[in-house]
Amino acid sequence: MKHLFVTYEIAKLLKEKGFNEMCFAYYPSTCLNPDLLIPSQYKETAIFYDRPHNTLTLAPMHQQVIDFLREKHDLVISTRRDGGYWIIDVVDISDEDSSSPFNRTDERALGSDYYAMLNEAIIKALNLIKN
Amino acid sequence: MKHLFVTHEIAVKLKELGFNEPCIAFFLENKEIYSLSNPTSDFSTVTNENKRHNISAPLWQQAIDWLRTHETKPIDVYDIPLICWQVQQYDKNLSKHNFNYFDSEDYYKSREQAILKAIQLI
Repeated sequence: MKHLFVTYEIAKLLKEKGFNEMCFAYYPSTCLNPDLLIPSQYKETAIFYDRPHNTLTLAPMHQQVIDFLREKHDLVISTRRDGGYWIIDVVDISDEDSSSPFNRTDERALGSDYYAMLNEAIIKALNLIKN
Repeated sequence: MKHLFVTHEIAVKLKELGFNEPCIAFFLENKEIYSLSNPTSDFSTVTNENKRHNISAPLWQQAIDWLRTHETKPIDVYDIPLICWQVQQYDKNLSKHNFNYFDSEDYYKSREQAILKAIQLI
């Protein structure tokens, strides 16, 4: 199941970019490379809110991040297969001059490992967000 | 958080097709979603083989992953920005077949329709 959640690297970037939605898991900020955790005190609902301090970093699922990028930042992660390769594009749909976003890309990840490419595309998308 | 999980209709169809991946939630008899967790570093999960938990509740992400990696009939379901959700299937001759669900009205509804179409193709 852990592959469904973003890496610690992405979780930290998301925190910097203002992500603060309910999640099923988090990374404790107690070491350099923490393991994904679910807090026991929330076991009835398996959700929690971020706190105003730095003791944890929310760990959303990729699905949540893709929605966050599209809804909050007009950045769409678009995936397609070409033979044995995955092409994952990041498209800025806020650009009104673009007549066809389908034929345009702002960033791209290309490779055979779907989740590795998805992680790469998400990092590129997050880096497009201006703080 | 319920919006992260597929509908009851899709969960039932996935079960009929043999979906048996670990899930962090399942559907109660009244079709409400009940999520699980565990106070350890790993997840408490259910599968469709678990008799107590009748129908496991996959995430949309899990449903799309399962369709994409299906053993005999892999089907891609993905979003074409600002246009549609597309279902893409290859036949025996490696010809591509596309089905589009336009998201001009409702992005999430289009995703649901695309997944239902993919399930139908399997």
